[in-house]
Amino acid sequence: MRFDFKTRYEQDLRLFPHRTDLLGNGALLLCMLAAPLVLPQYFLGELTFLLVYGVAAIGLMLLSGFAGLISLGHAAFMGIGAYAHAILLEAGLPFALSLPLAGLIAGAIGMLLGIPALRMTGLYLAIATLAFSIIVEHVIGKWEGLTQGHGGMQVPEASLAGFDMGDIESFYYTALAILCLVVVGTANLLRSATGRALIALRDSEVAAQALGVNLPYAKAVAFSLSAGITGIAGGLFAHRIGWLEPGSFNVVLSLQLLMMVVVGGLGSLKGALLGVAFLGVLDPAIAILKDYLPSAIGGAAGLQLFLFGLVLVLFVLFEPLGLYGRWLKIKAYFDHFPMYRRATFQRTKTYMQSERYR
Amino acid sequence: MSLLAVENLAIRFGGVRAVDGVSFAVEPGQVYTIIGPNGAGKTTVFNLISRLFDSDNGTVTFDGRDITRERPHRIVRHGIARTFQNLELFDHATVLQNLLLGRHRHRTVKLLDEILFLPRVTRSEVAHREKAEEVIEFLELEAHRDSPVASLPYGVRKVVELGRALCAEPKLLLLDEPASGLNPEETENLAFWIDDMRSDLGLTILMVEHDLTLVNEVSEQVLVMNQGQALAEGSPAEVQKDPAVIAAYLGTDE
Amino acid sequence: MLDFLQQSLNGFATGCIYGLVALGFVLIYKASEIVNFAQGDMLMLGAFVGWTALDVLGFGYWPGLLFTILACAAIGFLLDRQVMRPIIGQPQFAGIMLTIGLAFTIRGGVIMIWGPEERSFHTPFSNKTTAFGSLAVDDVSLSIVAGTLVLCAVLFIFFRRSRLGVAMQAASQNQLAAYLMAIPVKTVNSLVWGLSAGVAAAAGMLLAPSLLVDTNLWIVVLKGFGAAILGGFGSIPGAVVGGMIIGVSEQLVGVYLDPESKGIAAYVILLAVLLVWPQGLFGGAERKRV
Repeated sequence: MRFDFKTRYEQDLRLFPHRTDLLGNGALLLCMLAAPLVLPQYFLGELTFLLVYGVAAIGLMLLSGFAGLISLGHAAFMGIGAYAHAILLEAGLPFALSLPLAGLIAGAIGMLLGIPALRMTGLYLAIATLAFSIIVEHVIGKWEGLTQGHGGMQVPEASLAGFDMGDIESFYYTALAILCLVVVGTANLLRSATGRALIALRDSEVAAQALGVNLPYAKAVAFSLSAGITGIAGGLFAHRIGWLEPGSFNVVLSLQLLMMVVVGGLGSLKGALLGVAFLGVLDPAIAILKDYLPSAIGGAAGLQLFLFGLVLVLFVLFEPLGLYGRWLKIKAYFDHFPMYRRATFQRTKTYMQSERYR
Repeated sequence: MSLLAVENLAIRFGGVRAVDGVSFAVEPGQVYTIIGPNGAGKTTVFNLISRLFDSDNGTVTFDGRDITRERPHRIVRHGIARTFQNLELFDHATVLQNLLLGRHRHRTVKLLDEILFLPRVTRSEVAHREKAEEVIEFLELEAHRDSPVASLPYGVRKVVELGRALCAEPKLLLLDEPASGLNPEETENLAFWIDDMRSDLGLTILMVEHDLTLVNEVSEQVLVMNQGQALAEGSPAEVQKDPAVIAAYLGTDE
Repeated sequence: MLDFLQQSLNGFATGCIYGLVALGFVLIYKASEIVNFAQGDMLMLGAFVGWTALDVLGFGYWPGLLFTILACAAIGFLLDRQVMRPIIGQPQFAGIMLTIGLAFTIRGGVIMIWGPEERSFHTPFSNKTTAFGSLAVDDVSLSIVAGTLVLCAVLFIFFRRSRLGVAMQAASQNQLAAYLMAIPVKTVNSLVWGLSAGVAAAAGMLLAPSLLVDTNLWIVVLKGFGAAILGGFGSIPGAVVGGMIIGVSEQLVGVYLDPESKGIAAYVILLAVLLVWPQGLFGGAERKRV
C-alpha cells in the first residue's frame, strides 16, 4: 500500500504528483533518448513513425477521449498539415516556421468545421467528420496547382538548427522533442480549468453549461487544438514518408488513429501513447505469427485486417478502459493490497441514452 | 426589491402548456419552495430560469437584470447555480474535480497560460482548491474527495452536486428535488445545510420538493403549481389548508 | 431530356441500393441506438455468399437469393446475440467502435475465405435491356428498383400486420414498457439485427450484377450514411428516399458537372444538410430530460 502525505495544494497540481511517476517517466525518456544509439536504422525508422502517430493520437485523444466528440476523419487534418507543411517548405519557409504554421492552418480548418459541428450530437458529428475527410481527400487530389494532385508531391528537404531532417537520427530527435512538447502542453491544459471543462462536456453538457462552460467555445477550442496537433503530426508524417499522395490520408488512417485511442484507453494521455505502442507492436507480431500458422490461414491476405478487427472487438467488449485501464487496475491492486475491490472499476450501465418523443 | 422575479412565464411543448403564465417573486434570504403533483411544470420553470429552454412568453428578472434571453452559460455568472433532479454529475471525474468545475465561472486565466501552465495558473488553481476545500468541509465530503463520482452511493452524489453548485458562490441556489432518493437521516442533514447556507453563506434558495416535512421545516414561502399554472402561494401551513391545493393533490368528490 | 431521364434512372437504381443500406442502419438504430458501421460489410458478405450459392453450390437464382438472405440473417442474429448484447446501454462511442471492429473482422474474414480477387456475378437479368418507348433500361437496374420496392412493401406489411413487427416497433419506442408488456426485447433486438442483415444481403445480391463481387463493395456504407442522415436516421421511408436523392444527384453531378466529383457528391450533400439541419432532414430533436 502507498500512503500519500501532502502538505500543500501545489503538490496535487504537479505534472508528476509522485516521485515514482517522475522516475518512471524519466526512465522512459532516457530509453527513448538512447534508442538511436542501440537500434538499427530500420527499427529507428519504425519508432519514428510511432512518435508521429503518437502526436496525432494525442490530438485525437483530446477531442474524442476527453471532450467526447467522436471524429472519424482525423486523417484529413493530418493530410492538411502534411500538405501545408510541404507547400510552405517549397515556398522557402524554414522548418521551424512552416511546421507550426501547418499546425495553425489545420487548427483553423478544424475550427471552421467545429463551429457548425457544435450543434450536432455524437453520431451525426462522427458521420460529418467522416464526410469531411473524404471531401478533403478529394479536394487535395483536385487542387493540382497547389498539391500536384494524384500524381503525388515530393516533400522538400528541410533542416532544423543545422540538422538535416532527411537524416533519420536527427528527425527521430525532432519528433521526440515535438511529442514531448505536445504531451506536456496537453497535460497542462488538462490539469487546468479548460481541460476540466472539456471533460465536463463529455459527461454532461447541461451541467457544464449550468456551471458557466460556454459550450460552443469549449467545443471549438477542443476541435481546433485537436486539429492543430494532428496537423503538426501530419507535417512530421510528410517528412517520414517523403512523398505525399491524397490517398495516404484516407478513412483507413482515420480509423487506425481512432483504434489507437480506443485500445489505449479513452480519457488518458498515457493511453493514447500505449495504444500507439500496442498497434506498433501488433503489426510485426502478426507478421511473425503468420510463420507459425498453417499456411492456409497464415498466408491468407485478410488475416491482418481480421486480427485488427478482432482486437478492437475484444477491447471494446472486455476492456473498455483500454490498456491504460488495465494498467490502472493492476496498479490499484498493488496499491490497495489486500483491500482491492473488483467493483471499483465496474462500469455503470444506463439503458437507452436518450429519451425519444416521437 | 425581489432577488428573482418571474412574471407570466409560459412555454408549450407541442400542444402541452407545460408552464402557463406563472408569476412569483423570491425575496433575498428566503427559502422558497415550489410544490405540486408530477407534471405540474416545476422543473420546467427551473429549466426556463436556467435557460435550457426558450420561454414563449414572460420575463425573468434577477437582481434587477432581465435574464429572460440571457445565454445559458452566462446564467451562473449572474449568480444563479442549480442542481438537477436526476443528477447531472461528471461521473468519470473525481469529487474534487466536480467541485472545481463548480469554480468555472471564476476562471481568470487564458487558454495559452494554461497550456504553458504559468505560475499564475498555479496560483489560481490553488485559490480554487482552497474554496473547494471549504465546501468539502462544510458538506463533510472529506472521505470522498478523490473518489470517482460513479463509485459513490446516491445520497453522497446528491451532496456532491449540491457542493458543486455551492462552489460557484451563487446568490441564488436552485435545488431540484434535493431530498428525493435520500434516507431520513440524509434528509435531516440536508435541512441543516439549507439552514446554514441561508444564515452563514447568505444564500437565497429556490427549490422544488415533494417531501413536505422538509418543506415545512426549512421553507417560509411556498408556491403550489398544477398543470402549468400557479394554484396557491403562501406559507407552508397556509397552502396546505387551501381547498384548491387539496383538490389538486387528492381529487375532489364532485 | 431523354439523356437526362436515362441518367436519372441509372442514378435512381444506385440510389435504391444506398436506400437499402440506410434502411439497415435505421432498423438497428431504432432498436438499439447503435449505428452499425458493419452494414456495408454485411452487404459485401451477402454478395460473396450469393456468389457461392450460385456459382459454387449451383443454386438457381431465386433459391440462391433466398438462401443468401436467410444465411446472412442468421449471421446477423448471431452477431447481436453473441457480440453486441453486452454493449447495450454503453455510451454510443462503444457501439461505433465495436461495429467498426466487426466491419474489419468481417472484411478480413471474407478476404481470408474467398481471397481478394474480383469475380463476376450472373443473374437472369444480366446483359439484357427493356425498352420503354425510346428509353432503354438495363434489366439489372430494373431488378434493383423492383427488388427495393418489393422489400419495402414486405417490410411495411411486416411492421403493420405481423405481431413480431409490431413488437419490434414497440421495443424501439420504449424498451422498458415493451419489456413490461412481455415482449422479449433482447430476442427482438437480435431479430432486428437478423432482419437488417437480411436486407443487406438482398441489397448485395441486387448490387453485385452491376459491379463485380469484390471486397470493396463495403464502401457503399459511406453513401448509406448520407442516405440515412438525409432521412433523419429514424424513419424507414426517409432512409429509402434519402438514398434515392443521393443516387440521382450523384449520377447527375457525374454526368453534367464533373465526372471525378461524382464520388463525393454524396458527402457534400450530407455535410451541407448537417450544417443546416444538425439533426438531419426529417430528424426530430432528441433532448435529454433533466
